[in-house]
Amino acid sequence: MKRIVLATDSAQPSGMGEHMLTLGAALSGFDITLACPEGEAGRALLRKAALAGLAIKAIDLDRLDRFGTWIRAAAIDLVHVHAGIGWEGHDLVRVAKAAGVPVVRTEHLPYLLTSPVQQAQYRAMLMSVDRRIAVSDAVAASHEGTGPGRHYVVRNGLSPRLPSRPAEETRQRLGLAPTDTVLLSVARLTPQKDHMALIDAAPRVLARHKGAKFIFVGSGSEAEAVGAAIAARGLGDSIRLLGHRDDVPDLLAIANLFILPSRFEGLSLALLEAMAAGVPALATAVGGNLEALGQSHPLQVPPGDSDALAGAILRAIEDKALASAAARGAQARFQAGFAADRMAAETAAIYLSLPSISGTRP
Amino acid sequence: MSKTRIGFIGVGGIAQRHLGVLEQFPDVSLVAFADPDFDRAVDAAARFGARAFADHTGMLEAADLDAVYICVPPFAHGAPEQAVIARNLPFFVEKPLSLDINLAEELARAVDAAGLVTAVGYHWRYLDIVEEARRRLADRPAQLLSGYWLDQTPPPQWWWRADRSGGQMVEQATHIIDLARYLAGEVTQVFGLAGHMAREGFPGLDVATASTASLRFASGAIGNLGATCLLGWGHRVGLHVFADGLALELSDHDIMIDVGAGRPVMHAQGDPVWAEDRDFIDAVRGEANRIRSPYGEALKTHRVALAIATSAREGRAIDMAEDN
Repeated sequence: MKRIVLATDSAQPSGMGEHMLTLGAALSGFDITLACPEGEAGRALLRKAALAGLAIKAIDLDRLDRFGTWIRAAAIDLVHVHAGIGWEGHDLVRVAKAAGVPVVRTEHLPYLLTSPVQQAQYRAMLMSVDRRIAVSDAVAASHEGTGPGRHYVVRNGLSPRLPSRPAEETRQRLGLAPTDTVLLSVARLTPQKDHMALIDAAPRVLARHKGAKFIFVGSGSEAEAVGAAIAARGLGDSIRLLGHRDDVPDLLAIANLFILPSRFEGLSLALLEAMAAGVPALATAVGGNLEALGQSHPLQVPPGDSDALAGAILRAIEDKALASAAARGAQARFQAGFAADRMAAETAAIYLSLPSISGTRP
Repeated sequence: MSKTRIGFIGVGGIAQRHLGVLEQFPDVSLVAFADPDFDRAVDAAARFGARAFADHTGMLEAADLDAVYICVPPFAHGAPEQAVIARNLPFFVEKPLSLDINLAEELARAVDAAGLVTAVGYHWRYLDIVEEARRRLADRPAQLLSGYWLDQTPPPQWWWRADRSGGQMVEQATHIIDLARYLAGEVTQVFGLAGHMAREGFPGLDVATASTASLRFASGAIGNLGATCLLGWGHRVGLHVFADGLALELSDHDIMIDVGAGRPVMHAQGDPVWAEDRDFIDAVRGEANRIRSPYGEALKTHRVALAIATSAREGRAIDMAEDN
């Protein structure tokens, strides 16, 4: 069985880490090892991967030569590097190539590099990449012309998780009344996800629906700023910051609306999970969000527009028929196009397009 | 070159010792680790690019293995060996074999019936200085043996409890018993004595803090062992052997050979754990089986260790034939 390593050098492989876990678990016919640096987030990812039955490998970023030595010693057949922002993963690509194995690279975000030096480094890195994958058409389009070779688009997929407890219990644990309207956002607290727009939209929503509760799940570099903005507006009772959570399916089960206000997006797994769970989803009409929800999805707003965001939230709360039709449509769209098995099969086909993996060359 | 795929049951201190050796073997792949302390299994797996499991059953079901290392504390033997034997997998197991002689006897019968390659971690047999002692004793057989395990109390709390570790004779001095057998042959009679002293800092410690044993060998040789865990440091671990015109003092790192011409000391070369792991892997790979302590051989040492403990408890000499 060919031995494949799914690797990242990201210190915070949150959604991308989940993607790697999903892909690793769904790929059949290969012996899969998940590799990442052993920081706090990486450690948690390695633990989850082990529980999912995958082999695991900690990467010491200060001694990448050892990773290369291990690739040779363990007779690895292919390294599949996952990159978030465009400057990630370059060294992993080079080390793997130097160890003599083919390299596949997946871009999880649109091309955002503006510095000529970083752009040149990116182009140089691509010389060591055998196959380029993008997680959405939008991500592929943004990388157009950034280097040699084309992108294969393999849309993100996921295996929907089920809630682990009754919805009433989740409401109780969070101190929510049965009548509270739950507005759930699951996203890292980073400028990309633009929680500030949602905080700005909240007063207009609360003016009409006092029982509305915004719940932010996620951690990240903006945690302090987001907390301060909530406090400054006196919204502490209506916007709850839960930090990182492992019980997102339970939170989705009590959510009246899922909101993703990102400025840009590769293809959000949190959004796909909400779609799969049949929760009405409101997202900004950017890149991967459009691709996930489709052009005709009624709950989409321009990025960075808190008035539009507030209007759409109110529409979703007040027009229940509209919201449930949107949820049904999105759920059907998820099932047709975003299941993990489809993602795994398309990824496997790309691996097998390499002669050393398909066995057409010794 | 095909690699021999190894799984570990138990990833504590002694497992780390073997891992440090096995990772140097180009024909070995460390593929799976099971430990009830799952994070410890994850640590090892993440180091070697392997899979981690919280229990051995899950590991044996999921992982494709050629052989298994069983490195569990004395009280945890039984289920791991039975599961490994049921899958016809060769195994290396750390001493002591069990706390219950009936369990070890049963496992030995199962190993025999399955015809499995096994090895037990009596690594003193792999010391070059032990080889030298055997050469010296070949034509001048041992008449008197005097062994020591004079040491500190190991930190793990399971070690402090007789029902978890079996005590110092069973858990540590078993190496010296094995060495005595390796140099002087089978033991026919034992008489053990045990003393206990309560100490602050070791709450609940109920193993003997001082113990001795007298031994009679089939060859006619006699011997004694002394063990204590009352020190705050390692004082002496070894075996002195006396024969007609020959005195040997063996530790795990040197040997003094006295034939009446000074006290020359020879230092051990090489790593005995490396050698014992190499022999095990070679046998698993179908090459020559040079294993010096397969399960059945280790069982003979273990019978003596447990008989010493029983003798101390019951206050009577035990004839080894009576138990077999």
